[in-house]
Amino acid sequence: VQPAAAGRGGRRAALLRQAIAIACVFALLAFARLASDRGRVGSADPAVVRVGGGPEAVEVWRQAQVRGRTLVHLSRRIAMRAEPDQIDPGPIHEDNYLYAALRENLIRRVYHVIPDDEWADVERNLRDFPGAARVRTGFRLEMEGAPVLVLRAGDLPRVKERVLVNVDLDRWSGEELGTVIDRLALAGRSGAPPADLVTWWGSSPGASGPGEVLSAAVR
Amino acid sequence: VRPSARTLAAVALVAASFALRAPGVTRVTAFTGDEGVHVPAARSYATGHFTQSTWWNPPLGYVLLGASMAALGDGPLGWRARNLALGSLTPLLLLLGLALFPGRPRIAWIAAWLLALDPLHVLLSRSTFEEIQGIFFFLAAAWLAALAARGRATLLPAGGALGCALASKHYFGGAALALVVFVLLAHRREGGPETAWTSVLVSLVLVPAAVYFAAYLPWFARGYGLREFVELHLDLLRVARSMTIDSFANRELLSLVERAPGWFTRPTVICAGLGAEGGWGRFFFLGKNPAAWLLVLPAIAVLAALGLRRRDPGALLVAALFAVIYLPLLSVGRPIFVYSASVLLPFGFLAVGHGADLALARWRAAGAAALAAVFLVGAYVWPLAVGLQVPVGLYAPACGAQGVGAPPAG
Repeated sequence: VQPAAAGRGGRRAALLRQAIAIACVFALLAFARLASDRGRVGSADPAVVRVGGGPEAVEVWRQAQVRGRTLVHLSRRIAMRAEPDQIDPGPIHEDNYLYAALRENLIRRVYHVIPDDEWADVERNLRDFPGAARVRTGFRLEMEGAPVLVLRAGDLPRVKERVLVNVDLDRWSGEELGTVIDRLALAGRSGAPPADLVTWWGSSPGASGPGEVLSAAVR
Repeated sequence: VRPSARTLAAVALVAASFALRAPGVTRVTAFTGDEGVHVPAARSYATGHFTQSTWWNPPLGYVLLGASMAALGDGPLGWRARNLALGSLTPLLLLLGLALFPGRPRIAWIAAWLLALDPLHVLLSRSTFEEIQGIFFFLAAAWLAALAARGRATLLPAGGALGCALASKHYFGGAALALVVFVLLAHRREGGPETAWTSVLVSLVLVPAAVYFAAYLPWFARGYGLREFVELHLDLLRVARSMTIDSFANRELLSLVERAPGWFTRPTVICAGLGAEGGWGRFFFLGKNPAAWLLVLPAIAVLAALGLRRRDPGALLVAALFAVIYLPLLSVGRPIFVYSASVLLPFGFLAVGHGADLALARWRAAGAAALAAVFLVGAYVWPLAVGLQVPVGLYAPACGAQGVGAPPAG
């Protein structure tokens, strides 16, 4: 028996179905792009905020109502102790605040920048960690699917979007911070500031000195 | 119009499949199996939160699980209804595979009833494992593609179903390619606009890819972009290669669960007593119908050999689908547990059905006796799969000999 769809009419119907399917695919791609753009929400008021520690930085991000952001995290520690499969990951503390921020979708991607003098230690730890992949600039890990790139300040890539910056200032000299901010600024498009919200903590007094360096990121 | 005997028999198959899966499905009110992972993932998707520890699986399983929970409540029925429904309908889809073996209906009937009674498929149909949903959609795609190969305008819905299978679990990439080749070869033989290469490209490549992509829209809404979509898939490949048994929280139990090379070559089952009284007891049973499973590999070999000799596209497709799904599972770095065997069973059982059909044609009485024995073994282990109370004495030999836990003294 010859197919019912055979003949010129069948060919035309098949072509029409294909055209509709292709149009739907393009619409879907456009929709995904739109959803992605709308999923990244920046802070309405760019600022450099001194906080008492990592968990307070999360509170600052929440209050600024940011969403789906890339975080440049300048610290030795990653603060990602996980509570998988729990809707409520429990109280936020120094060991898990970045994990909580990922879970809440405040951030979606992390560049974990390690001070140069501590890199050898980190490299040794990650070399033997099965979940870490060596990449050109450092190591690539994932936290429940969210990418975490561990690298040195000099290897920070061009991040083509405004970022959140979170700094444990006691680990960084003003000069090293300047390098990071310069690299972020290089990636900024059309002179726009590379970051919209910088949170930092540490024993350095006041906003002059390191704070002044950091404020360059949002200017 | 009175329904035909075949329609009535198909309805009976679905009803029986449901009756074989439903008893006591909500009796356990706590999480069982991987529900403790899947249900939080579904809740996360529903609330737009993070995807939890199952991030390497595509999202459609959790999206549909979330829909089931939204309709029937965040409790045992809402968790398990999706698999109960799709698992009960899967033997029917296998029956519709009749289209692959024109003039030999016995093959699909045998396969469908073997699947209806299979203890692993029954067990997973009572939980939240994504395999049940994945194979349901893939069989729907295969059936619709087989119809398209015979000239029906069903290739586009076949692509939709294929996309749903791909978006349920990462088993079916090679199988999708096998379907494409099957339909293109049909076009070479029969012609027709439905199976022309442009139509196949759009329907069986572009549309499934789009459905897969669409399942990730909630993920894109979290701010991720197209480049990160590619990175995510590279990450999941890397993680799949690096996983070991120690990567799993329930590693003690999983270390006892059979891995891919042993699924069809060993009769191993896990059977543990859950308590007994007055000579009757209940068991946890993660197992198989050994009589049917041990026939699978020889039956696939016969099917492939005869398919090649007779240039039978239906037989070759079934053998190819089995091979392209099973070989990656054998070779992937991470441990693959027996749950994954459930996606191979439909093709394995079609091959067993094919072998039984040959045997029945040549040695009617002996073939019928052997087939009856296979079904009897399935019927014997079925009560264990649904956790029914059974006479301990009747099941102690099977469970005691092969299980990890001796049945409790009764």
